[in-house]
Amino acid sequence: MNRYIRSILFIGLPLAIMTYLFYQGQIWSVNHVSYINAGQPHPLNCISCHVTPQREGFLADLLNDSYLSPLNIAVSSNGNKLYITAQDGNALIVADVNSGKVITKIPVGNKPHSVILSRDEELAYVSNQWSNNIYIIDLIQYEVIDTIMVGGGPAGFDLDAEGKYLYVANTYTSDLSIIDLDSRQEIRRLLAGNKPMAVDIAPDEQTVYISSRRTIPVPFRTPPKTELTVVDANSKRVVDRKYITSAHIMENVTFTPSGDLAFVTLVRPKNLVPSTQVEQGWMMNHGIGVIEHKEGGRVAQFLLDEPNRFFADPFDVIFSKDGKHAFISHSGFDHISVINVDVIRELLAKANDKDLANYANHLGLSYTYVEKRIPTGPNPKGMALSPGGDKLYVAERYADQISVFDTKTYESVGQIDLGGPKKVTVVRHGARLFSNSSRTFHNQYSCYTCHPDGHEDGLTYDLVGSGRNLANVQTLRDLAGTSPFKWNGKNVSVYMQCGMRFSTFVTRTEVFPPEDLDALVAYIKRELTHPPNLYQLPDNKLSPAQQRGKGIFERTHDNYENEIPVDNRCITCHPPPNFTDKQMSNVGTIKETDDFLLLDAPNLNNIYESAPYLHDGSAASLEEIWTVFAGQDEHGVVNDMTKDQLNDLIEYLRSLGPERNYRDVIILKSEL
Amino acid sequence: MRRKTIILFGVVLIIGLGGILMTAARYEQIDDLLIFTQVSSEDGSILFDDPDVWRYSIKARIVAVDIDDPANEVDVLTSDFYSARSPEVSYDGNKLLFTACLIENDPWQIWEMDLYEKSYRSIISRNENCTDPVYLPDGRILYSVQEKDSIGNVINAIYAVNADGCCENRLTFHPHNDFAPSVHKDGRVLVVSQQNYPNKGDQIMLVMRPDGTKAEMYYKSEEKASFMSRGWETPAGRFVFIESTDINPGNGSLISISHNRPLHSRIEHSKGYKGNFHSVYPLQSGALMVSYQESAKDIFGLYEYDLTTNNLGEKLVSDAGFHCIEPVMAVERLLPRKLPTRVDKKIKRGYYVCLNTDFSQEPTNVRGSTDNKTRIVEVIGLGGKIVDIQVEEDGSFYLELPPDTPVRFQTLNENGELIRGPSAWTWVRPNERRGCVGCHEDREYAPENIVPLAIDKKPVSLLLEEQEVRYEFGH
Repeated sequence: MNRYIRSILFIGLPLAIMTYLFYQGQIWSVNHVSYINAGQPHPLNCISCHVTPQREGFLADLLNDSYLSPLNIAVSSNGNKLYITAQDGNALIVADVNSGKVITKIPVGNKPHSVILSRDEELAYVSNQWSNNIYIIDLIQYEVIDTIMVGGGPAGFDLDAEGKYLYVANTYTSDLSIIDLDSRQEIRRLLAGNKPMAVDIAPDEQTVYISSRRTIPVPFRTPPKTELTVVDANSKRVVDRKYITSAHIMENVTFTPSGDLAFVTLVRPKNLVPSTQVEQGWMMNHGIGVIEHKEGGRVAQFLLDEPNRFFADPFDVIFSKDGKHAFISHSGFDHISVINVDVIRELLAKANDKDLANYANHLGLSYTYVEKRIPTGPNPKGMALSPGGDKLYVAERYADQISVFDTKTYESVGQIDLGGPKKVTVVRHGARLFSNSSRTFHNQYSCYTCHPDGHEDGLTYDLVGSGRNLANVQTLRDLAGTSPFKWNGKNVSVYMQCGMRFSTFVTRTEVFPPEDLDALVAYIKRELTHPPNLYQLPDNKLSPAQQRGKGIFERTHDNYENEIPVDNRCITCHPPPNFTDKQMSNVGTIKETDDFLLLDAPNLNNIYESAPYLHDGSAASLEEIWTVFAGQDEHGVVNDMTKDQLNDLIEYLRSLGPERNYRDVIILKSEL
Repeated sequence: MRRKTIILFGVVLIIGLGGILMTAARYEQIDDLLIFTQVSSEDGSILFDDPDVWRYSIKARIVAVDIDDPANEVDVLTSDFYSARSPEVSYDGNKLLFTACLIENDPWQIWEMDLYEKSYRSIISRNENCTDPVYLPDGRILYSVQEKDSIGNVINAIYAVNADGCCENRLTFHPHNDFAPSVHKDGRVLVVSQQNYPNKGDQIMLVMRPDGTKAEMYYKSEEKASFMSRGWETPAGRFVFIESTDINPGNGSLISISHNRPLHSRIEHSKGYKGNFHSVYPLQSGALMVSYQESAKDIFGLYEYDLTTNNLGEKLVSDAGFHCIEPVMAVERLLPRKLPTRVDKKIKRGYYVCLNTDFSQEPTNVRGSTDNKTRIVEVIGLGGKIVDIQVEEDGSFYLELPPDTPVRFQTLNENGELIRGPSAWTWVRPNERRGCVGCHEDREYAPENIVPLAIDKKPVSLLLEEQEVRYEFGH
């Protein structure tokens, strides 16, 4: 063989093979991306799907970063220091106002939510939402000196004037812990609405208000009713449960300095209205609830939106020192609204019940009481005023900074950099997109509005706009590995879920550009996780009831020793690790109003947090799935079970946690 | 040989560099180009009390001038045309749309010009007059067509066509004169609209999605005003236009409204000015370019106008023989949102749901009766009443309608007495679902969050069977 032929063989042949493989690979990858992205044009980028969204791995770590995400703020009485909870940084940050520098970062528990100072300001209390406790921090030594266990998911809290009692809203267990700070013991646990978020004690120290995020259970296809729990500060008992109708996501509650009114931030969803359009506020409105704090006081709602501009996801509300103005942070629209409180008082004074009903839907009324809209950085959350009331501090969660505004001119007068990473990673960009309403028509809602903290809002929507195919909102937490998505299983990927049809039916505006879609998907898959499962015992052990429930979940024979067909066993459609076989089934729950026959088996991770249940939200509880909607045993064989057995099954279901706890467990259908 | 090669190389290099320099120079020129319409000041073709006349001027021409040196002689862009109007520049600032007729008495048609090459092409060719072209962000072109509706009335309807002139698609279907479309940043289209049948209505500003869905009133002057020219959105989010009232027809006033609250934010900026405004265009700087005449005897010139101080600046452009109107700038502009569409022409129906017919801001027509609760909704087509339908106890009704067909509604009580109506004309596009909160309700009210009883039933169908119209709609 002469050397020319050898050269061709050694160089040309590998080149030809590589070229062939390259083109074949390109064709395959184009088809693959086209499939994942529902045929929509999208630039090829393997990293977008296979590296950036990963939770672990060298490359994923390289591409991502650890941010702080400031959430809430407390100010020292001399105005020199800010204390800031860093939700993703798991720290309490102490910052010097005068120098604009961070003094220290004190490591705290998992997902710190709020911070409050003791009356002598020697201690700070921090609620660790995912650790289910309150940290007590010595502000001289800057160290954690004690821990108080409370209910699940402590979030907002308030301290009485004497500094003796701490009232803590436990979001995940839907109750209120009252802590005696002398003994540092929880002395009372009171039921408080559904997913309570915030607490405020009235200036007269007689009453405590607790606002909730989710509606209490209401009859199917009726408006949400979200509880404002009223606790008597003397008896420490619940004395009233006020229901804010057609509203939810009441993230914060605050009394005016005079105590005559309390404001709650809220969202007014239009989930029952056929979603024929977004125009004229047909999908989501945002506003405040105003509670007259007196005997027989009324509850009114005022919108903060305008006819063609919406101010999504109001989060915090605080009042100026003189009580004449309220500041409301819109975490979904990167603005602060400044409210003239006296105008609200005047409107209330002249309103009858019919007027109040009209106020709640009047998009133009905000022009009478909104004095100013102040633009902020990304995702403004908690706020605080300087002791003199001349400065407003705003935690800009997705900028890792505190912005400072002059309360007279409403101008920005500076920022305090908390020291987070300066680069905006793809995932961080996705976080900003997720929480921002700019990608919906007229900024009417963000992803966060229906998926607060990446979860779901507990409502069923008529997105088709015809009273048909009603859709119970599903959680976005721990989605990876659970495709397809949507109840009818039409979307094979999160890309498809958030793609063109999403734009047509949900956002009703321009489709996400490819780089934004990449970022959004990466954020959803990487960052949105369930909080620790409150029903799981340490080391994934099971309680006796859960153990019995597991037996029922995996049983092969019913109580009469009849063999249960493989396809009708719980574990067949809901196998670990995600408790879904990702297949379509008919479980007998399809209604006449549904245009599809089969449903995607949902994953069961932290299922106890996701009431109501079934694809249309018609089952108010897990129990109802196998009682009211049991049918002829299409949804597993259950009609032979005793009440105790059903209780055990449900106890076990509640303990099912995210995939990471079960990744070593593989059950093949063929082994059943 | 070598020398020849060097010379050849040098020539090619010089030509290439020269070409690049010339191209760059032309870019610079286009960036500063002010384009406007000139209408002869002698033939009296600007008549403000009759929009049919001012839209079809005699021997009008579109010209360009360097904004930095407006005293220079204008460059006539439409010298090949008998008359041309309504210049509109593409979002990248490179192309010009206009309406023109090549020879006298030809119908006005839509043309597009490449501003670099000065070449032009016909976008559409119809027998009817086509005016007021505007670019959509997806590259399609909207314009107004003067034509006859199904019962023979002459109307103007809005059409859309692809940039290559294919796939013409009508968007508005009511017996109105719809003209002067413009595109808002949110992706919707604003159209000047005036009911033509059964009686002449007031001019209003209509807003709709660029597929013709969700059409609704955007703005109506409280003073029964006429719109003198196309409106434009400023960078600050106000919508500016020229209005003329019944009291003083032809006396154009400069008006702005806020996009956030268009029905209640009207500001008349030109109160201190005795002259007339004709047209307006927002500049990137935040100022306006306006066409203004100091008195009826004077010609219209172009001025800069500060919207915040209401100061009319120096006259930038004027020409003794011509009114200078309809200014636009050849600059890159922010692309509005590209809105998705659910219109599907294969689906020969649309749906209309009203949440509560009794929710209204208008007084009832019923005299001497306490029964003001709506029991019946009368559906009216171009040919008259089509059908009566029962409304639900909560005042809701749900209709399945033939698409692209104008209808009106009026509400009756149990005794058949008219409560309110008839409403404005409306239509649904194929596969469109439309909703309304009430009847003639205040459009600043969002719907109450309830399930309307009607939506739990099948819609009342005005179709007989698949693709067949059940009732006579006046076609």
